[in-house]
Amino acid sequence: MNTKAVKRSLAIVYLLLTVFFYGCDAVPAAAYMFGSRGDQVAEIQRRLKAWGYYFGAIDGIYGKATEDAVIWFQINNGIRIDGIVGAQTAEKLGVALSSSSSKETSSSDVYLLAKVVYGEARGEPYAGKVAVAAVVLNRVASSSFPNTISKVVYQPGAFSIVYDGQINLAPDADALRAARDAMNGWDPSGGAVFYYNPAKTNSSFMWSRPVICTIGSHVFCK
Amino acid sequence: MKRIYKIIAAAAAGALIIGLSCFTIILDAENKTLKNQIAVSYQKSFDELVSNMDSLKVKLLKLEAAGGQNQYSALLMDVWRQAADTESCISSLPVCYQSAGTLTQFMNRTGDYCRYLSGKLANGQPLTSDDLKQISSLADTCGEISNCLNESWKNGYIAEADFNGGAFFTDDAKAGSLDFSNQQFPRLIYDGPFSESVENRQPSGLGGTAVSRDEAQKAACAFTGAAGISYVGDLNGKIACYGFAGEESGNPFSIYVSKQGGKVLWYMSQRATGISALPTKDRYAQLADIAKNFLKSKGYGDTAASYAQFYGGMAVINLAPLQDGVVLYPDLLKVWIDISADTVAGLDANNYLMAHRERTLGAPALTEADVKSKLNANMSVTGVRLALIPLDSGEEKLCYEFSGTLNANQYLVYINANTGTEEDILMIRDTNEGKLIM
Repeated sequence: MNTKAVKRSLAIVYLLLTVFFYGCDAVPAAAYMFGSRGDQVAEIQRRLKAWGYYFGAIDGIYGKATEDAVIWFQINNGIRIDGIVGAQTAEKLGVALSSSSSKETSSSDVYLLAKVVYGEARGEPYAGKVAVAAVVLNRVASSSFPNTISKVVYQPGAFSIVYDGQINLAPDADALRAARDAMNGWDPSGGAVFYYNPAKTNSSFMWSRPVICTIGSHVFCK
Repeated sequence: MKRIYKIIAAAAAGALIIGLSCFTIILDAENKTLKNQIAVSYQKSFDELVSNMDSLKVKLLKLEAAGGQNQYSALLMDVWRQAADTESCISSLPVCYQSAGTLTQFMNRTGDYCRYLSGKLANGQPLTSDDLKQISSLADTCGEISNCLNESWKNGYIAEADFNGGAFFTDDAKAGSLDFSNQQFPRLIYDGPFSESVENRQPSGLGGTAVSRDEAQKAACAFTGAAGISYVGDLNGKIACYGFAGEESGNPFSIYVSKQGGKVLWYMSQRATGISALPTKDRYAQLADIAKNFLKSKGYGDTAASYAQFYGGMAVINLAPLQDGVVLYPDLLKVWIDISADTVAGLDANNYLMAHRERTLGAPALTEADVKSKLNANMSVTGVRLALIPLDSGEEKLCYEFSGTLNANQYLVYINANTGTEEDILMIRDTNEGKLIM
């Protein structure tokens, strides 16, 4: 009925976003290669140096040494080897290109965990995000819950985001990193298997659980 | 004229009502189809649960009746598999946590226990009369649950199925259609990942005495080198801690110090997310050295870097402390390093605080040459060292750790340095984020 209005507001949001993103950065090139110059090349050199691939000066000039470093980086990271910082290499190096949009890949478990983090805790402080991921992993390890990440996440009623569709939102970089940090053993929840938002929950079952800690707007409990 | 308007208005209203009714009918039909699809999948899980629970009981009774080792091991493996299937059924049903949790735990422990017994059998230890008593009580409980499920099944379980998905955290366990809140479950005595003894394990690495909040704050200041630290709250987990926050060279950090012993549970400084890319080997060696030096300066002694992951601009390096050259995997420490800044961004010492203690390792009874023959003949060995490894049961075993390759795959094989038993096999997988040990 009011699809036009919706479309119009979407168009405005899109425009604003585009303006916002272009406003953040100078318009980047489509690719960087032998002979390129500028701040972005310096940034590429800085990253290559920090990760151990480049030993020359950070001078913003894409010369032979930079090209060799890019090739070495591409070999080690499984990217097509051409010595050019195109879309894929730029994304790995975290350097913006005018046409790069591909997403970071990760294993299905990490990705599912990141979707839970994004759906449940995207407005929370970083430790609160890791804690939500840790709760899922603590459930996997607990005898009272299923034994895989997907069974825990999709257990009927366990996470409300599964029902309202937020589980299907694409997680952002922070959520992915939080999922990986939790997989690596960091557990800010202190071993919690439940959490709730006290402002939104009136379940006396939840309120009766022994509290471990509070991070942001979530209370984590045993 | 006015009449025409009235007629038009009436016709429009009529059309609107008819249209809306049709729309509602279509919506309702769609809704019903969707509901049926969901109900059918619930019904399937429930039917499976009913029949699985019954055959579990039968298999446990057969175990009681079996006279020979052959049947024991076959039936034990079968119970383990079936318990896992049953656990799957429970986890896909809309049941409140109080019921789902207790049933899931019962299934996990039943399966886990039978796997443990089958492992014992494989090592030449026969089932004891205590084991058979436990099996008998498991069969009884399965029978009780099975009766209860059959009753629900007869009453048409699905009629009560909850579609709004809010049933998991009900205030009243009886609100769900399956109520096991009063069911008695046998206490199983054994050692496995889901056993009570392992789940209730207490930290052994805290030592010392209880510290006050002020003392903990001093420890946090000493650890981070930051002066301005403020208390942010307690952490009442297995390792109870005081939490503090502060800032160091512009990076806000959090640190948790145990109330017992005043040890750091974790320290994490907030850094901007960076790129996820593999560094070069040489660069990794540098990063590992930073981590080792950091741990040494914090009093963890010498450590060996085991494997690492690289994401978000960080290297997360796993390091195991060394005791007389033996790698102590139960005490694994994790260090986060900001690759661009060459600085330590975080430490997780949970494993260390849980497992670390003074250990007398003793000299291994077998030599490397003695146990090498136990390896797969086709494996080409690239390295060997002594390591202490944690087992599922919570025990620790002194093993020779053989690094080897077979068909281009890399493995770590652990052979008990005292008995020659092959205790564990791990596979090393190269991913685009570093090495994964599985």
